[in-house]
Amino acid sequence: MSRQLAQRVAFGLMTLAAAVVILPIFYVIGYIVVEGMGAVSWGFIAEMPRDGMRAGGVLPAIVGTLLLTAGTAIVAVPIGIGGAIYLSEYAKDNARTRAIRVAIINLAGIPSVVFGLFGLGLFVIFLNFGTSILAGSLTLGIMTLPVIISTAEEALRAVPQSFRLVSTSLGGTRWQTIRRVVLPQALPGIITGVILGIERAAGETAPILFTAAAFFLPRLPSSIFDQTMALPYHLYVISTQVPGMPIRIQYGTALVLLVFVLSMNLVATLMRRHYRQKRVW
Amino acid sequence: MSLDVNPAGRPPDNGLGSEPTEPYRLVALEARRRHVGLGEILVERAIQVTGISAILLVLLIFVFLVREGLPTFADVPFGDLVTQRWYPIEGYYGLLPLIAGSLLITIGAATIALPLGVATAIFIAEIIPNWGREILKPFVEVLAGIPSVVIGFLGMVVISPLFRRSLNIPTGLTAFTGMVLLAWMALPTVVSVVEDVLDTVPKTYRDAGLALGMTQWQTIAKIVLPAGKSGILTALMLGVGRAIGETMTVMMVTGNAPRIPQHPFDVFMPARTMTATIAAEMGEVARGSTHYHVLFAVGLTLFLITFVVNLAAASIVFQRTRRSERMLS
Amino acid sequence: MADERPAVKIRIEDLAVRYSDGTESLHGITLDIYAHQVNVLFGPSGGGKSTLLRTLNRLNDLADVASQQGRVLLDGEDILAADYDIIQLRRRLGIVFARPVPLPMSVYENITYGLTLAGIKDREQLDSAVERALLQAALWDEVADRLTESAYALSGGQQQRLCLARSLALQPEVIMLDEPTSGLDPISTFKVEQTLQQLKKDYTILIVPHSVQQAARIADWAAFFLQGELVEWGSGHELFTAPQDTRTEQYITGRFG
Repeated sequence: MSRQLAQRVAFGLMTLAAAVVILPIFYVIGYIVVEGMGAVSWGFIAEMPRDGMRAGGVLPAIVGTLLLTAGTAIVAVPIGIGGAIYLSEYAKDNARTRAIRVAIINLAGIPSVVFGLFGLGLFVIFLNFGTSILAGSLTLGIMTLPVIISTAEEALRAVPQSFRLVSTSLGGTRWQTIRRVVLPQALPGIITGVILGIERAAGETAPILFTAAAFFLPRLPSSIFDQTMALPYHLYVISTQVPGMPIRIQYGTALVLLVFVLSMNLVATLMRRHYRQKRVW
Repeated sequence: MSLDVNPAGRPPDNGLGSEPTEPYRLVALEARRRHVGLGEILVERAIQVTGISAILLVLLIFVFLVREGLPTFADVPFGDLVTQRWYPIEGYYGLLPLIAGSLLITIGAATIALPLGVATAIFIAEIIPNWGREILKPFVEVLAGIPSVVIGFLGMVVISPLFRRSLNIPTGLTAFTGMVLLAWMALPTVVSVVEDVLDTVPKTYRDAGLALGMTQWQTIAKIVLPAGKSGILTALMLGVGRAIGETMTVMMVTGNAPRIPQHPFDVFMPARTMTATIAAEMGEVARGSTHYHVLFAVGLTLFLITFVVNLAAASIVFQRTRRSERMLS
Repeated sequence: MADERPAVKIRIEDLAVRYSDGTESLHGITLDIYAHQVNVLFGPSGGGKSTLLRTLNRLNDLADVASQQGRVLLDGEDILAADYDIIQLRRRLGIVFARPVPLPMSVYENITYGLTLAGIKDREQLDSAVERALLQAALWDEVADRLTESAYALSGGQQQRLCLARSLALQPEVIMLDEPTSGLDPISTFKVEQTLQQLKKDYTILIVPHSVQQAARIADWAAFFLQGELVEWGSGHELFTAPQDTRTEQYITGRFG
């Protein structure tokens, strides 16, 4: 049967393609874990860099990434959830809504380095925030918005229409219905989306290159108007800009960054699974 | 015929409670309603504003890119921009090698990513059983979460030496290395979009194919894929958009030599993209200098390219939803 | 003749509703809903009965309505007027849907939901409202010790009576029921029907039954709808024994529908 043969060959090729895509993911993660393990110790995480970053730890980069991540969340979460509520609960099918959707798709597609330019032009120079945690958080927050809006809208739309109908029929205003029924039910999905968006921002380098990142700082930042080190930028710096950099410190930094980012991913995935099983509708 | 209207608008006591529980309701409601109303109006206003925030932000980004990029055309004659030499220190601002580098690497990445992505999506959506899907899907998402600087780092220390040795070329930091890594990074986008599309092809189509005696593969190739054609096009567009905007990985693995490829084998030579140029040079330029404005102009160009690409992707999506709505009604 | 008729609770005058996509609509409906009676709207599906219910408490404002004409007078006031207080209206006209839709919260919270929306926080008031509503919906005996459980832990029939209790908790004037027993077994159906007979002492009942048989069993007044038109209406006894219109006769004798 040549048709059966064709199917076997085709399926074989698909399986091969999938393997080519998926196996390297294990390889990359495994490789960095194995190579980076040796460098990572308590001191590596909790100490300042020494000897021109060739020794010591990556504490200021970790702190900086935590601060930038928190800043991103503060900027992106309220606007993103608000935007999602608007699209899911208020927007009618009209030209304005279509324009918003086009804008979101485009915002999601703007190269990260262009966000960096924008942040430089608006926050650093025009608003005079300087190269700072504030400017970097705003830039990253805006970059993260489309992810949060899209995932939160999806979560809101998944809440059955009948709940809205019932709440309205019992004298609920639109906002009461959203706050008392729709939002609580969509919350796990929204949080999952927020984590995935923030995770993306935490690993970004290009948007903070000219808005927040410092090559090296001998101390931790003390205000939101300070520059800061950050893990992704630090990895870039020590792997391209510092001659004679011990490779194990590079792998160690990559491992810390990877663990930070992927643990957020894991939390989001587990949360989604947990709540999907728990929900009654 | 008399029209008897109950003026009180209320039924008599329901007889279940000894006390009439009636009055609390009206009093309490009247007292509270106005208060709730004010807070609500404020919240709803705020939601309206956040709703259009995406539009405002895209406009704002455009305005600032234009504001900082436009002076380029006062400083540098347009003819000088469309030359082959990018050497800002000596005042050469030819953008062609950067545009060529971006196009070369993007097209190469898309060429690799599309077939792989479609095949992987078919594998995940149609071939493996459900439990396998549950495991694989999160893993593809994990790939999307790996920071590009980590992939760039591995590209530098592992992949490019590997390519240098196995292809026997002078350096492993080449356009080709960039294409391969970029393709791999664009895959989560391609896979998830294609997979969504395959999911939306009605099961009845498949059943019809199988009922006609087609094999599962014939059904996929002749019915499911053509039905999902527009979605695959969307995936291609979004993948291209992702690849052309990728910065850190290409900056770290492509060698960054601004030259226009002359020969097919030049993919195994270093190249330089628009994104990498901005990232590498913006940190060192003086604010307000010609070089500074030119870099913004490069950013503006990137913005416009991705805008068009994503608009095209979006219009395909909108067309598709309109058609499916028609089919449903 | 007029003297025998009970007080009018809702008067519908020449009502026409059309959705933007052209589906199920109403035209030229003129009908009275009588206070403290079981008023039945029946006919084949797609006739506009649900649309009429959802127009009466303005729930259709959420739907894609293209045009709406005519008047609906509740105690003489036009509820379709632009400045009418819709929130208050919906508290006065409770509705129970075909499929039970408990909100994803406890039994207790389901029943107090409407009251807390209205700003009532007093625990005693809420407690007594819950008990009263559950008694009226004939559910108290079954759930009195399960108030903190999820509403989804109840059986289908219990869920539907919970939805009824949830509407009753607001002490509405009119209870509208849209095929409330369509998903229920005969015993649960019987319980709901019995409950209705009790409820009409205190409330005006407007119901879309799920079968002609049910319509005939419970109707004090009945209106026959066909494709968005009101074919005829009158007392249940007259309509089901001596229909004036041949289409009504054909439908109730089971020749179509």
